[in-house]
Amino acid sequence: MGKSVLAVDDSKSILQMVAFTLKGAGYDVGEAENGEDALAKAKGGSYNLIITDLNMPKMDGLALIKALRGEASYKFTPILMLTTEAGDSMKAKGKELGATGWLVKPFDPEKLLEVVKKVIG
Amino acid sequence: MSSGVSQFFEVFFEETAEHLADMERLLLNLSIDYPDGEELNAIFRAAHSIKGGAGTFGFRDMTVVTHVLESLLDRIRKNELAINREMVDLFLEAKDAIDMQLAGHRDGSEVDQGVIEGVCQRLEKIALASGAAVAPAVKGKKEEALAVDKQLSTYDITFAPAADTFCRGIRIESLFRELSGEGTLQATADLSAAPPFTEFDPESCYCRWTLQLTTSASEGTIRDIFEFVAGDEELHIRIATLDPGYGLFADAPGAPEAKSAADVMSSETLMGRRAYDKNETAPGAFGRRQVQGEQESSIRVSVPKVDRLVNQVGELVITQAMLSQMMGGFDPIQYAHIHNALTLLERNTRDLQDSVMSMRMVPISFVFSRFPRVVHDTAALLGKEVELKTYGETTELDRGLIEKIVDPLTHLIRNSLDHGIESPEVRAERGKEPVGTITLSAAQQEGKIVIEVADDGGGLNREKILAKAREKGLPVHDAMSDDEVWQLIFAPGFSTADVVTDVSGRGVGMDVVMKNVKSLGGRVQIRSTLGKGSSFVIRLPLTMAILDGLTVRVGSQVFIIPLNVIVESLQPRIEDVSTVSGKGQVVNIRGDYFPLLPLHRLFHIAGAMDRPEEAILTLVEAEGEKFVLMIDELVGQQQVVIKSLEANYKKVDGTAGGTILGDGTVALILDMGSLLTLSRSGPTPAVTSSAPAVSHAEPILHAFS
Repeated sequence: MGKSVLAVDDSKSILQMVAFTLKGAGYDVGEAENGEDALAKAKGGSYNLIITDLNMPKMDGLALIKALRGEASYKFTPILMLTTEAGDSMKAKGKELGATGWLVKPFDPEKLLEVVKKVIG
Repeated sequence: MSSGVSQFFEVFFEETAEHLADMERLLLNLSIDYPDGEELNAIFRAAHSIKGGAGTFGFRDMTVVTHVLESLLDRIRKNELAINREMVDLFLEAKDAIDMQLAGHRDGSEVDQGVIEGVCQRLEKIALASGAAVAPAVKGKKEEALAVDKQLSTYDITFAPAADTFCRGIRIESLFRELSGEGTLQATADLSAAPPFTEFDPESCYCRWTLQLTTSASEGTIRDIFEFVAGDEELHIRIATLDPGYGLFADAPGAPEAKSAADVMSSETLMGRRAYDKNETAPGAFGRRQVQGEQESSIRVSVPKVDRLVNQVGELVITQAMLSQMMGGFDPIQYAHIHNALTLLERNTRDLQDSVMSMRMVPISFVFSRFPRVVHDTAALLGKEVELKTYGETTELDRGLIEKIVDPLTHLIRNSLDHGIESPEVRAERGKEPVGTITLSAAQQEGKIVIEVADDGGGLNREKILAKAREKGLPVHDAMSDDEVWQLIFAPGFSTADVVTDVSGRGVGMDVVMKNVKSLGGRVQIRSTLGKGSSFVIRLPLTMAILDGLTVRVGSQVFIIPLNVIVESLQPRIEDVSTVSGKGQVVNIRGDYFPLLPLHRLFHIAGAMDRPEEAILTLVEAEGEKFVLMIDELVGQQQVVIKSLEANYKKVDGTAGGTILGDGTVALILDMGSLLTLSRSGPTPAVTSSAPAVSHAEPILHAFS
């Protein structure tokens, strides 16, 4: 059974790139452009990993992480934040809310695969 | 940067263009004194998104500019910095700069680095002046250069000190302090080896660490720091990549370490940790994953594909018309079922054509959206205060029209700004509000698109226009109606401006407006009241692919005359036609004389009527001139699908495309402007060679023989 990843980013081009990269490596990928849609998608499906941008309209990344951790089915699902270099305070906040780790933006598709593999195999 | 991402460039370009447009719109709308928090956030997010995308797809130059802009916007939205008019204007300039960079990447157009530098410098100046350190852009060239020079490496260090480490008087903190002194240190602790609290020995070290140290120091130097602390079993050092660019919190939910521990245990016994697994293994859960379809209300289709579809449907309409024509000869009662089927086919084809044509329709907001900026900048330049009001942005018009209507509208708006709206002082004198209003509206009316540019300025000055016209030697008289006087401003080189300003007034605009509108098959109407304002109304056909035309016959050739240029058709009396030496024939219609264009001579059609009094004359108007076409017979009026002659054969003077009629005949669509030119250059051999298609008695472009 393939693993599935939910990618959340308000930038369509980045979302497409992430989906393409992960699908190419055999993962199923769901896409959402903001926290609200992501939460709905997550609840309606079953993902092994959530990768989310932090800065989005309609419920940002941190709020999404908090909401996901409040869902029984996502209490222990790995959640990775996409942060910008100067996002140290965000990393700390994310960690507080239960994020599993972070990936710095901008990132290589190869790097993305490496991290995803590391986290969910 | 991996080359695999280039396929997403197109989407990134479109996205960025949208973000830039949003930024501009929001900045223009922003109230300087009471800026709306949500709007500030939105502006910041737009810049932030552009930066993120530009970085991901490797457009470094855009990252650099957006970075400074973004950090300023971030501080403004957090209320750490107050926004003012100067900043808004600078941000708009920055938006223009990024637009230029974007165009450079997308179309290969030139990018003026001087402008970019200038904008960056001014942005940085504001940042520094307000006391912020300007952090270098993400992974700026300088940082990477440093990395290469001093050869920074990142080491992954696992450090598992022996349990008695504390007893040997070793302070782990000082170790870490030393390591941090060598570079950037990240440490995550692992307490999995710790026993339950009741069995905890405070003098033992149960802690393990994974460290990442980015440093220019050598591995040897690092090992030295651990010299007395850890032997080989306890310390592992290896070089990681230049900067992993990611990290995992060791004790976070979902982290791989936690997962591997859980893997060992069976799924039933370990609750909580494997809750998410439970969902997957539950009966019926397998493949239950619903990836909800995106609730997209639109899809992206390439323009050539749509155009191809439009073309194919056009062909279908022609074929269906042919069928209908053929069936005309069959007894309607005997073949009633075929007739019925054909009627149904005709209806279906028309519906299909309507649907397909509607795919070419684009909301006029595409055109309107650029004008707030034009008005903002131009009004500022002229020292006037002007507000732009738009209505009917959702009105749709054909794609082909969209691009061509931009210039005429821009000129009309500039004209209103320059000559229409008065300066605040003059307006005050006249008892008007200091802020002038330009209204831009669009609507569909009686099968046409109606676009209006109106202003509440000074209106057109009839006397001035008449005086200027007389100066230019144009035929005018005082009894001319207002409408006729207003039309004078469309004459080439006409301008009543006292001073030629930078914006307009050179008199090259209005005639071009008229020409452009006419070439789209439309007309311009002017209304004006001195002191109150003016209104310019453009009427356009809904589409450029279909034309309403009058089918006419000259000899054995069939032509189509676009309905919108026809004034009237008549049969002249012999005494109305006279010959002017050296200029050909003219026709007297109710006191006015119009030149006669003998189509049969222009196109070398044998067997056509030669005497005007026996033929039919159609009075047409083009580019401000009226003239008469001589034709044999009026065949009918119909909507035709325009096919390009140029694309399928070659450019033929005097025509603007062709069409295939129901009986298979090819009919050329006449182009008035080009006919005029053709008639002036006379029926010379050059004319013959350029119109070979109609120089034979038998039409050679017959689809069916």
